[in-house]
Amino acid sequence: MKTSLAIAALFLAFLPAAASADQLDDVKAKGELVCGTIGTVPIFSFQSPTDRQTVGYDIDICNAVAAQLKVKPSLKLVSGPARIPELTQNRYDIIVSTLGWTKERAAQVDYSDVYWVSNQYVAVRSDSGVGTLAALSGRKLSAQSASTSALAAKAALPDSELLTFEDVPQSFLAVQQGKTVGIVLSELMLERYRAETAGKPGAITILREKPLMIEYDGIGVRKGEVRLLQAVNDALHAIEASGELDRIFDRWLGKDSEFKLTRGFKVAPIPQT
Amino acid sequence: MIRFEQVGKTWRDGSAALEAVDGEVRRGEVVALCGPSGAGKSTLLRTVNRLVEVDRGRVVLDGTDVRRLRLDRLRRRVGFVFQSIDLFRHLSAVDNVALILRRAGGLSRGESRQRAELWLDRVGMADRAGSLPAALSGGQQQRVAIARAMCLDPEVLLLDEPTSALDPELVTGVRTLLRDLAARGTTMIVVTHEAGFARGVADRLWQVTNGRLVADRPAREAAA
Amino acid sequence: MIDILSDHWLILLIGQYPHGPLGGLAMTVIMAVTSLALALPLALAIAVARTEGTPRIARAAQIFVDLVRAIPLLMFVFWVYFAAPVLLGRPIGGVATMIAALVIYESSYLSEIVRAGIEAIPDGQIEAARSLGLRRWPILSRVVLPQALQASAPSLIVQLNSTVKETSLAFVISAPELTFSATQINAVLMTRPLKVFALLAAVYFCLCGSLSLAAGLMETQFRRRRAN
Ligand SMILES: Nc1ncnc2c1ncn2[C@@H]1O[C@H](COP(=O)(O)OP(=O)(O)O)[C@@H](O)[C@H]1O
Ligand SMILES: [Mg+2]
Repeated sequence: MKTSLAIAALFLAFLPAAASADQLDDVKAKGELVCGTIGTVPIFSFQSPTDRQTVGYDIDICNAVAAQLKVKPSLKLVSGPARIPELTQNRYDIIVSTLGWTKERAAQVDYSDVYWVSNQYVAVRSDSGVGTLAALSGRKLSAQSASTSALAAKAALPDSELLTFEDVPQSFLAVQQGKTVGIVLSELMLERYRAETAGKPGAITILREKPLMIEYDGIGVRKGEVRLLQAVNDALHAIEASGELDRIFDRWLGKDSEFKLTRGFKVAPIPQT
Repeated sequence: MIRFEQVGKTWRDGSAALEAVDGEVRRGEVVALCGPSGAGKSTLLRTVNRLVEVDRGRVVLDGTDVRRLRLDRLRRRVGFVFQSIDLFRHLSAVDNVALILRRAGGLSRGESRQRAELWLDRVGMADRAGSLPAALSGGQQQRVAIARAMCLDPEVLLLDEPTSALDPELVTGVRTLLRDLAARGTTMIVVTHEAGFARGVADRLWQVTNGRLVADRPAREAAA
Repeated sequence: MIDILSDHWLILLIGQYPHGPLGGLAMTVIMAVTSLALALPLALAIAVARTEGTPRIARAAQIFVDLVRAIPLLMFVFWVYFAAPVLLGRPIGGVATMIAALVIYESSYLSEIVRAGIEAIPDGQIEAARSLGLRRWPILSRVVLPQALQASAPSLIVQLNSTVKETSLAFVISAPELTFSATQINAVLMTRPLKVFALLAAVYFCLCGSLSLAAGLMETQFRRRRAN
C-alpha cells in the first residue's frame, strides 16, 4: 500500500503542470488565496474541537499572508503525499503545511523564506534501555510517511529500519505498542508527547545527543511563479516587521502556549544544503 | 403442415444424427415419435424450430422452408416443451406465461396477465398461478410449461418426452392434458416411450432408429 | 471512548461542514452508495459483454477487468486524481474522483460476481426462452439478468461492505470522510489513537452491519413479492 503510494507519487512528479497565466494575477482576480494544509498536524493545522474549524500556526500564517495580499484566505485540506502534486496541478495556490525544505522537494516547488524552524529528534520509550543514537542501529523507528521526519531518519540513521504511518498519532502509537523502539519527530511535538506521557507507562525520553536534522519550513509556491513567490516573501517580511508574526508565534508556540518557546529564527532565505 | 424432406444432420465430430428423413405431419394430426435412446428423436424435433440446423434436405412448415422464416416468428408458430421442464425459475407460474405473451407476443401488460391466467386455468393450474416453479410438483410444472408453449396459439406443439422426468403418479395429469389438446385438434409431435400414450392419443407412430425414420404407420395398427 | 464520542460526534457525522466540505460518516455513505449504484449497471454491461458479446467485445471487456484488478485501489485513486486533469484539461474534485475511481474499480469486481451468476444459469433456461420466440434482448433482460442478480445478491451485499471500507482511501486525495474525521480527532487528542480507532472501527461495524441488514431485508422482500 505504502509502496504503491510512493510509486504513484514518484510517477506524478513527472506529470506536466497545468498551464496558467500568472498565479499572482489569478489570486488577485479571484480575490482568494487558497492554502493547502494537512489538517491533521497538532499545533500547526488541526480541528478546533469546539467549532470544527481548522486552526493552528500554519492557518494563522495563511490568513496573515492573504491579508497582506488583500484577498480572502481559504483552506484546502490535503494529504501529506498529495501536497506537492496538488500544488503542481494548480488545485490551490500555496502550501502552508509544515513543508520542511529538502533537495527533492525544492526540485518540485519553490520555497518562500523560512517561517518556522524545527529540529528533528528521536525519542524512545523510557523503559527501552536505549540511550544513544548508536544503539538504534538495527532497531525499528517510526515516522509519518512522506514527512521530513522520515527523510531525516533515512539520512541520519541508515542502519535503523524505518516504519512509516499515515499520521503522527499513529507513528507514536507504534512506539507505545512496542512495534518500534522510537519515533522521529520535530522537537516541539516530541516535547508535547513527553509532557503528555510523563509518569505514565508509555513515557518517552528524547535523545538530545544531537538533532537528526534542522528543518526549515517555508511556504511552497508552484515552480516559476516568481511574482507570487515574491509577494509571499514580502508578506512574510511585512508581518515580521509589524509584530504580527510574533503574535502568531506566541499564541501557538511562544509565551501564550504550553511550550513557552522564543522565536530563534528570522524570516530569511532557507540555507540550501 | 410439417414436412421433412430428405433431412440429414451430421455433428461437427462427424457422427451422423439424422439420415435422409422423409415424413409428413398433417394438420390436426398427432405423431408419436418412438425409438431407442440416442436414435435422433430430439434432434429431429429440434430441426423444426431450428434449435438444430439441418445440413441436408429441408423442413417445411405450411409450405415454407423453415430456414426462410424469421427465427422469432418461426418459434412463435412452433410450441416446444422440453423433457427437462425449464420454467423460468425466478418467475411465478402466471408470470412464466405472461412473459411470453408480452415479450414474444407483443401483448399489453394487462392483456398478457389475463390470457396467462386463462391458460393456467385451461391446464388446471389456476389455483397455483402465483407460485414459483420450485414450489410446484414436476407434473404441475410441466402443465405450466405446456400452457407457456401454447399461449401464443402455435400451429404445432412439439413435446420432447414430456412425462419421462415425472414420478409415475404425476404422469396422469399431463397425459390427460395432452389428450384434451389432441381432441381439440392441436397438431403435435410427441417423443414418448409410453406405448399406452402412443396408442391412446397418437394418430400415427414414427419409429426412429440410428437417425433414420424406419417405420411410419397408423397408431391403431401398431397396437394390433 | 464515550467522552471522545460526546466531544467529537459531529465531526464524525458530517466532518467540518459547514465550516468546510461535508465529510465524516455522511460522506462515506454518499460515496459508497453512489459509486455502487453507478457501478452496478456498468458491471452488468461488462458481464454481458463477456458472456454474450462477440469474441472481440468479450476480449476487450476481459482485458478491462484484468487490468483494473491488477492495480491496487490506492494507486488507482491517486492516479485518477492526478492524471485525469491532464487528460481532461481541468481538475476534478476529490469526491468526484473517488466516486469515479470506485465506479471503475467496483464495476470490474461486480462484473465478475454477475458473470458467475450468468454462467450458473442452466442452458435449459436459455434454450426454453429461445424456443418460445423471445429475442436476444428480452432473454437477457427478463430471463438471464434477473436470475443472475438474484443468485449473486449475497455477494453483492458483501461487496457493498467492502466499498464502504474502500472509501477510507479518499483522504489521500483530499476528500474528507469518516476515517479522515478520525485522523483529525487524533490530531487534537494526540495520544489516544487506539481509542479513536476503536471508535472508528465500531462506527464502520455498525454502518456495514446496518447496510447488510437493509440489503438483506430488501432481498427477502423482493423474494417474497415474487413468491406469491
Ligand atoms: N449438440 C450435439 N452435438 C453432438 N452430438 C449430439 C448433440 N446432440 C445430440 N448429439 C448426439 O446425437 C445423437 C442423437 O441424439 P438425440 O437426438 O438426443 O437422441 P434421442 O433424443 O433419440 O435420444 C446421439 O448420439 C447424441 O449423442
Ligand atoms: Mg431425446
